Amino acid sequence: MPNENADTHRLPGDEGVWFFICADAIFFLLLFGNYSYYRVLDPGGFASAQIQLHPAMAAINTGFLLTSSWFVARAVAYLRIGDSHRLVASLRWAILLGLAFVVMKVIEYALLVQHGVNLGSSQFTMYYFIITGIHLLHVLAGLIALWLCAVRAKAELQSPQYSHFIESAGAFWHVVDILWLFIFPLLYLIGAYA
Amino acid sequence: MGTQISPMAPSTGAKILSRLRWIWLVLMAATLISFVAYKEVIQSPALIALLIVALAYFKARLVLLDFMELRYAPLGWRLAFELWLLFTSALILAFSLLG
Repeated sequence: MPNENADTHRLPGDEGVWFFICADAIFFLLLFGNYSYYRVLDPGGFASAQIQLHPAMAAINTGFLLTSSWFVARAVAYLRIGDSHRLVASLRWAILLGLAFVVMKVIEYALLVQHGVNLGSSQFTMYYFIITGIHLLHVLAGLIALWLCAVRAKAELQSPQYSHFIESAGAFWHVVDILWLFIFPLLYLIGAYA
Repeated sequence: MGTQISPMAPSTGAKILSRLRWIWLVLMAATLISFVAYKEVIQSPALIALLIVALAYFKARLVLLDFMELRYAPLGWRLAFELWLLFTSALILAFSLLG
């Protein structure tokens, strides 16, 4: 959704951030491949551990992240319209929903630990905690970036550096969302039929 | 650092915001469909894997193209992410059909 007056082939944000996002995406692809390979070697063992998870909570978290992403896309649109009030409001909603994701994830971890499930319980739980843990760190980093966007908005709305910053933070946040779109089915749904 | 882009006309902004709202609705509906199908409807593991990976691909592509604005990005960047998406989905689907 670029400005129609602007160049139609434009990469939003900082190119360096996009290179980082690419590297990150490849890293997660390797993790997904590695997990999938070992699941195929022991589908029964993985399935019996998978059924201890809470897929409904993960589905709700998917809704939180998708909606948060939507608010970030709206914030970028409001930046281009020049509406700082709605821009900040959209960022606040995005942050709130990101925090809701974190709270839900922590509750999920607590429930698992309460039932005696931890990193060393099985090969599946090792992958589960590592993949979701690394993703959670991405969520926290993204939340800090969005918070910086919100606090800088009023004073720096007109500066090119600010539009670059919010577009970069937005691109990162959307990738965090996309990664979760695959983590959710991969860990919670596929193979969990036991 | 890039150059400042000129302000957008309010009518263009309204159109973009409306499009984003529709995309969000489609994303939420797809999430609901894949979860309900998994929980209640489809019994075959292969079929459910096919459906949820296809829906994940569809959702991720909407986020990439419209929220991340790759639809309007230089072709090389768009192609790189489209390939990543296709490869990730194919890899997950292939392994899920194996076991």
